[in-house]
Amino acid sequence: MADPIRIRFTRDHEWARLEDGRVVVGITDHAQDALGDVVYVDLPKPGRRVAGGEAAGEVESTKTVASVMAPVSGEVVAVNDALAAAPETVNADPFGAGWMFAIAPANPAEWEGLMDEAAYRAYVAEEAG
Amino acid sequence: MRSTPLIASHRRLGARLTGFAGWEMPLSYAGTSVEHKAVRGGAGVFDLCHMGRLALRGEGARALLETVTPSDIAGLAVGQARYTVLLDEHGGMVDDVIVTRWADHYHLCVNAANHPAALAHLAPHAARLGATVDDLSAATGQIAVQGPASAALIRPLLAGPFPAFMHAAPGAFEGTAITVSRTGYTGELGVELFVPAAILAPLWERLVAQAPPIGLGARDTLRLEVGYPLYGHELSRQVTPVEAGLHWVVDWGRAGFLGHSVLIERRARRDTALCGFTLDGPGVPRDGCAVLHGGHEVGRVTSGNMGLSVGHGVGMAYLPAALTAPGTAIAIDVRGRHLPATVARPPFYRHGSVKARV
Repeated sequence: MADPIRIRFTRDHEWARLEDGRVVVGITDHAQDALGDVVYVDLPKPGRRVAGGEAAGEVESTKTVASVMAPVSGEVVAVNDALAAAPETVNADPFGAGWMFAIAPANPAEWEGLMDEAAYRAYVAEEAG
Repeated sequence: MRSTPLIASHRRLGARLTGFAGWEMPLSYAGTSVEHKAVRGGAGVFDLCHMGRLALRGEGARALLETVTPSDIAGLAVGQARYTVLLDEHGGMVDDVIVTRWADHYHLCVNAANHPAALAHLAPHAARLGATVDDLSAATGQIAVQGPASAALIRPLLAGPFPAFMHAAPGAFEGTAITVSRTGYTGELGVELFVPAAILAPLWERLVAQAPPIGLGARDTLRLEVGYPLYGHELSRQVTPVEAGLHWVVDWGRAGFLGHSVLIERRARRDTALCGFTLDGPGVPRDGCAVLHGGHEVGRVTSGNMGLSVGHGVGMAYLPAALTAPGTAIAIDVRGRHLPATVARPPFYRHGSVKARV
């Protein structure tokens, strides 16, 4: 996994990474594994304002569908258009080429409310019971 | 929950397991998309031990089938298989099944979810007509080998020529007799093997050494893409074969089967019919989504998913007669978004090898 200082996680199994002041968002390896084969990803349009915890996109697998939540509030400034033609990238490389969108954060304090990697690992273990 | 007798092998193969009709079965191994494409492009091996396998014997076996199914039973040659449905007295479907005629009995393959219901439905008619129903399910297993390249795996098991589509032939594995049935649920060339429990595991191991194992996830996406109905989704006691697009299983020249008068009446009425549809753009239709026409709900999706070989969303739904023509514009309500779709006659995937000459 990437630099632990700069990657954070949500309780809905998104990851968020700070890159040049933007928050890049995707779903975790745990999330893609639980969803199964991703066949379609619906992403927000650039320019959309999202609130932290709001559904900004959807990821569809052969089994089910899940919302992709915005980890923080702000404006969507980039989306990964490559996923339209290759949604399976979310399974193959969830933390890299499978990124979904980037947000220009409106409230830096929200970042601090997200889980770090150790907390997320503990959260996943707890969910698994 | 019962486990398939092959459960240890599935665990070893890294399967993700799921509960299905009271059975613990493999959902996927390498992943549903990969498995789906392996079957379309090569071959794959399925554990179908959860399905029910029955032998109908006795003087009244044929009369039993002529009572509980609407199909031509007398016309079956020895070794010939036929897809049909078990009907109740209202014409509702108790199950959809494959019946195969043998010299001294009929073999019936029933859905796992309907296995008890099928037995209960057959019992009184069997008693009345002088037939016996032997449940072979525990003493036997069932493996499917499907895909355009499946013949190479199957030929070593056959005593004679490759069976024709919807025919079965005797075979053997390590000296034990098996049945090789040219049937399946994928739209591809392939067989279902009916085998004694004693050789089930070694036969499975032999086959998965030659082709990938395929889970129930891909079994569902494969069948949907060729428009095969699934009991509990497209088929139920609430619909007759007429609305379900299965009028072709009915021998309309024959009477005396359960629900006959209802089927005649439904054929004349034809008010709703099971239809296929394809999404015009991106998105994935799901079971239960509303089907819209002119802003009104006109039906519900019975099965929907991404067509993994066709590359767009596909599904099935019961629609009013006026909307059943291929090309009719509809919309699917996918969580509040109205996705444009077009009524289309299955199969959605049109390059299947199911009837290939071998």
